[in-house]
Formats: sequence, C-alpha cells, structure tokens
Amino acid sequence: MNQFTLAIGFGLVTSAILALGAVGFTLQFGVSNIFNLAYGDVMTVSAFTAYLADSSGTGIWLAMLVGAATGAVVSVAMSTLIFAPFLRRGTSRFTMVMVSLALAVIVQNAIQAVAGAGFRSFPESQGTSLHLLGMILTPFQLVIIGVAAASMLLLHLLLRYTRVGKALRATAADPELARSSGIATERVTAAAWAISGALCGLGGVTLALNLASFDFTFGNQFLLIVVAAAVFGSVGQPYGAMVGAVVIGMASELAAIWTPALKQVVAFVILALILLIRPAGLWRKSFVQVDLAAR
Amino acid sequence: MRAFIVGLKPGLAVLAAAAFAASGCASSSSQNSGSGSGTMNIGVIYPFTGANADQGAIGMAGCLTGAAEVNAAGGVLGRKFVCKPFDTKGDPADATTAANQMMASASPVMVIGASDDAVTTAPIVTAAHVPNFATIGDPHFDHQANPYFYRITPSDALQGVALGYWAASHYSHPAAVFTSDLGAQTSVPPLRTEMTKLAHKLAADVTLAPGQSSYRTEISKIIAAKPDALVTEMDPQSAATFLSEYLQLAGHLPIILGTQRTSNSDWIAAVLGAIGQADYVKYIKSITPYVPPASPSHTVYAHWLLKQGAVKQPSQYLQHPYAIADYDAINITALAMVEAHSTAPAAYNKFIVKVTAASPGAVQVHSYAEGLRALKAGKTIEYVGAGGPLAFNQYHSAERAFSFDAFQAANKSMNPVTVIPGSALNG
Repeated sequence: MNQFTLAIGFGLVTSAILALGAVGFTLQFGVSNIFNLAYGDVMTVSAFTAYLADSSGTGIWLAMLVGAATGAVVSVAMSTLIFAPFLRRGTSRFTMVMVSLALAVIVQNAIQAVAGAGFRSFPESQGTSLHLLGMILTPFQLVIIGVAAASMLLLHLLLRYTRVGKALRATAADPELARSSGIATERVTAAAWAISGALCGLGGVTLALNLASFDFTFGNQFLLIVVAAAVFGSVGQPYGAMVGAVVIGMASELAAIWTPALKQVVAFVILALILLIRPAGLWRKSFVQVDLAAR
Repeated sequence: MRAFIVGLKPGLAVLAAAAFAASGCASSSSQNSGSGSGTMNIGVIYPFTGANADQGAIGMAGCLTGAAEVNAAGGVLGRKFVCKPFDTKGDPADATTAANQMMASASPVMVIGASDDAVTTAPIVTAAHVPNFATIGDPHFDHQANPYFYRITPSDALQGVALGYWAASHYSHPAAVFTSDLGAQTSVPPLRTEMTKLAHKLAADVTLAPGQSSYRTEISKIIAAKPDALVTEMDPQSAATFLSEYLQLAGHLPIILGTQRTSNSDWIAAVLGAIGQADYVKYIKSITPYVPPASPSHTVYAHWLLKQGAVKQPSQYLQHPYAIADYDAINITALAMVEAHSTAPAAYNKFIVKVTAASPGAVQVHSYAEGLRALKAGKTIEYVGAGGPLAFNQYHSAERAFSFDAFQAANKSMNPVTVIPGSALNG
C-alpha cells in the first residue's frame, strides 16, 4: 500500500466532513456577523436526534435529513431567541462571542442532562472496505464524500441562481442597503441560519458516523478545526471555507504519515503561515464579489 | 469565570450564570470544620463532566460505599461521613477552581481524587493540611514527600513495566500505540525500558493526537508493521475511532492490551458500540491493578456497594480497582481517626500509615467495624482492603500487584484472568 495515496483518500473523507461544518459556520458568520461558538454543540444535538431516528428504524438517509432539520431548527431558534435580542440592544461583537460561549455551555450540559454522558454508536456497519485508485474507503465514507459534494453544489447553485441566494448575498454585502432595497433582511438572515444550521447538522451526523462512537462533547471538540478551516478560507466566505476544509483535511492526513502526534499542529502551522502572508485568509474576494465578477 | 460574570451586562450575566450553574459548578454551602459534632464532609474531586466524567462516577461509587459502611457502624467518634462531589472537568483551570471551592465551601476532613488533575488539586488540598488520597499514576509522584498526600493506586511507571512484561512474554511483534496526553504517556517510557530489558523490540511505536476525526493514515502505517498485539492507552472517543478504523482497514484486530482506562465503563461502551461484542470479547484485554475476586474485605465492600442505593448500576464497580481504592481510603481514614481519637486532619494524618502497616502483633482487619472493635480492645491493627494489603511506602504510594484481564459479556466488564506476580515486575 502506498502511504501517500492512502492518506489522500483518508484526507478526502476528513475534508468532506470539515467542509460541511466549515461552510455552515462561515455562512452563518457572513450574514449575521456572529462568531458562533455554540456551533459545535448544534452538531452534537443534530447527531443525537439523527441517532434517535436511526435507532427507531428510519434508516441512515432519513436520519441524516432529521439531523439536518434539527440543525436548522436549533440554529434558527438560537438566532431568534438568543442572539437577536442581544443584537437589538446593540451588544458588541466581542460580547456576542461570549454570549455564544455561554450558550455552548448551556447546550452541552442540556444534552448531557437529557441524553446522559454515555457513548452512542449508529447501528449501521461501515461495510467492507473498497479499494479505489490506491485508496481504501468504506461505502459509508463514500456516502459522506457524496453528501458533502452534493451539499456544496446545492449551496453554490442556491447562492448564484436563486432569489434567496441573491438576497443572502445582498444582505451579507450591506444589510442597510438591502433593507432599503425592499429585501426582508430578517427573513433572509433566518434563512441563512436555517441553511447553515442544516449544513451544521449534516456535518454533525457525518462526523458522528465517522467517529464510530460519540458522546455529548464531540461536536465541541471538533469546533476548533472547523473554525480553522473557515478562517483559512476567510471567515464569511463559503467558497473559501470549502478550500480551507480541503487544505486542512489533507494537510493533517499527510502530516500523519510522518508525525501522527502532531498532525493537527502541522495543519495549524500551515494556517498560521497563510494568515501571515494573507491576513484576511486565502479567499480575498467575498462571495458577493465573486458572483458579480462572474457576470 | 465568576469574575467574568460580574463584569457583564445584566441579561448576559444571567445567561453566563446559568451556564456556570448548569456546568455543575454550583457549590455546596455546607460547612464542616473537621472537628466537633455533626457530619464530616469527604471531598470527591474528579471530572464529573467532559470526556473523563467516568472518573467522577467511579470516585463517588467508592466514597458512597465507604461512607455507608462507616456510618452504619455508628460513624467515627459519633460523626458520620457525607460525600461531596466537585467537578474538575478534566481541565487544569477548572480543577484549580473546583479544589479551591471544595476547600472553602465543604471544609472536608479528607479528599478523594483527583486522578490526572491531582497535579493541580493536590497542592491546594494538602496546603490546608487535609489528607488527600489520589489516584494519579504520574511517576513524578513516585518520590513525593508531602506528608498529607497518599497515592492509593499504582504508579504508571509500574503499569508500564507490567504492560511491557506481559507484551514481551506473550507476543512476538507487539506495537505501542498511545495518545499524546499526559495520562497515557506516563506509561510509555517504562514500557519501552521493560521491553528492552526483556530483549524485545516494538514492531511500531506510535504516539497519536487524541480526539481526531480519523486515524486511518496512522493505522495503515501500523498495519504495515504487522503487529500481533497493540499495547495501548487512549481515551474512549479516540479508542473507538481508532479501533473501528483498524477493523475496517485490516479486516481484524490484533490483541489490544490496554490499561485501567480500558476497564472503565465509558471506554467499554464507546468501543463496544464501535467494534461490536464479538470482536470486543475476542481482542480486548487489559493489564490492571489486581483486585482479589474473593476476600473477606471484598465481601464487605460488595455488600455495602450493592446496599447503599445511591450508585447507578453498582455491580459495574464490584471489581473496579479505582472505586475499591477510594473505598479503602475511607476505611483507612476512619480507622486512623479512631486511633487518633480525633477527626481533625492534622491529628489523624499521623495514623494513616500506622493502621495499614504490617507490624509484629498487628491484627489484620477487613472492614471498618472489625477495625473499630480491635482498636477499642486496645489492639494494633493492619487494615487489609478490598483491593488487598495497602501498605504505603516511604513516599506514601501503595503498590499493588497487576492482573491480565479479559472481557466478560455477562457483566460487561473486564475481569482478572491471571495475576502478574510482583516478583516479575520488581526483578
């Protein structure tokens, strides 16, 4: 087995999971300007509801949809019931980060109170490993890659070719101007939270599937690397987050060939170097500008 | 955290305070001076939330069992024990807060725990001259000189030797796979030394970053080394991911030789769900501090564990060496208090070693009630715990034998199969 080719294959899986999480995170930030540290715990809630659905016999596909729907509903609820009242009072951006941190602790402890501290595993088997182009992947991992790719494509189509996408871009670029142009920015922001929450939920379910066992802390544990991928691609830029997910995912798997204990450190060193050269992240143009340039 | 809450706007402060309370940090307001009438608090300081929350449940199982036994015998000098949990969350910063809060709000007469967090909690506890019975394996405590600190489980240095001895004796190509956290890493140097001493080589020696979403690249390298056993210590999450991916890539597992962490219920639940019961029974083994399955002391322990009524699924702790060590610590403390005729920590601390030491004319006792009767009769006692004799060395470490354990599906726990003789580990 060629270690390099194998690592590329494994990196694809890691990148796919990261992309779902990072794009959702960055989309949320792009429209709302909230650096939401409770995001990882929404991943956890989504994974638990998907697990409940799957355990009750829905099958993994429907369970994924349940996870995505949970992420969307919880995210919109957070935005409407928690973040919006603070924003209306003119709470500063830094304080909003603290609000999200407090919310993360509450959500995590709520999950523990309801579901307990024990580990859960999805009942589905990962299946027999498949050998493809020198890579080894299970059918489940192919599903994860497929779900991520389809989600990214759908998001791209939504942002570029639909009225909701245009409204999202307009709101992200200048909320005041968008509002004065007749766009219902509150509804658009809610839509952004719902879409990003759905991606967050899907990210949570695919991550839980990949981990084999998960508990009430797992989403929070992976928040750092999700944020890293988003920052790498410039926070607020969905396309940048996609690139960031691929780079961080691949870098950590390739680093594991030589230094397994430091695989994440290597990814973060690359992130630091990129930020030194390009302080705003890799993706200089906003997704609004990219779209305008394409016309 | 509290200072942070004070500085926030009212609405935010409510939110943050709710988070703080929900995280289990709310303190008990009971006061206990450690002397006089009333109850006496035992501080149980472990992670009760987070990835190592299992440690808290284990500590409370031991404490509640010991307290039930002592209280049923009339308490100590007329006073009864109460177990008070304090949550370190497995984080040094939170552990410091929890330890300070425990000492300020509960005024414990003794403290059980912590494990890895003892590096930060033990100095706070012992500075107040309160005896601290910790389960930390870190070899840095092997030669500690603090008179109020006691280690009631073996050093990781000895754990590493036991792992190396068993691996070298039973497998031709064992590999070492440990996560990079301190709790796991302390066993690695003695493992390597023991392997070298026994003229054995590790097929692979890999350190993993804990809590990753995937270990496939690392696993493919390990598989290439063709190990017939993996000597390992990992947290439950990492172990579940690692072992399920190993199974996917190799089609089977080598023998997995774990440590005490492998015997914890959270580890078993995580890995059992990831690889299935058939493979778990076939491949998962561990080397743990040995607990005699049948002894007069263990019979008493089992009786009170199953009777006290406050521990969830108590049978899972019947053979658990750490729950048993915490239980033994309470009996030792109670007997030391009786011997000292005082419940004041500074007074009874001098008698802790005495009530456990084998000495000419000392009567072996196997429970608090038995020890109490012997002390009242004016006899010198040697408390032999449910985990076996607990003779503390000059550094206050209680060394124990180890056993090779296998999983029993019936009670979903690891159980001793073979005892590793102390001579093998010392010689």
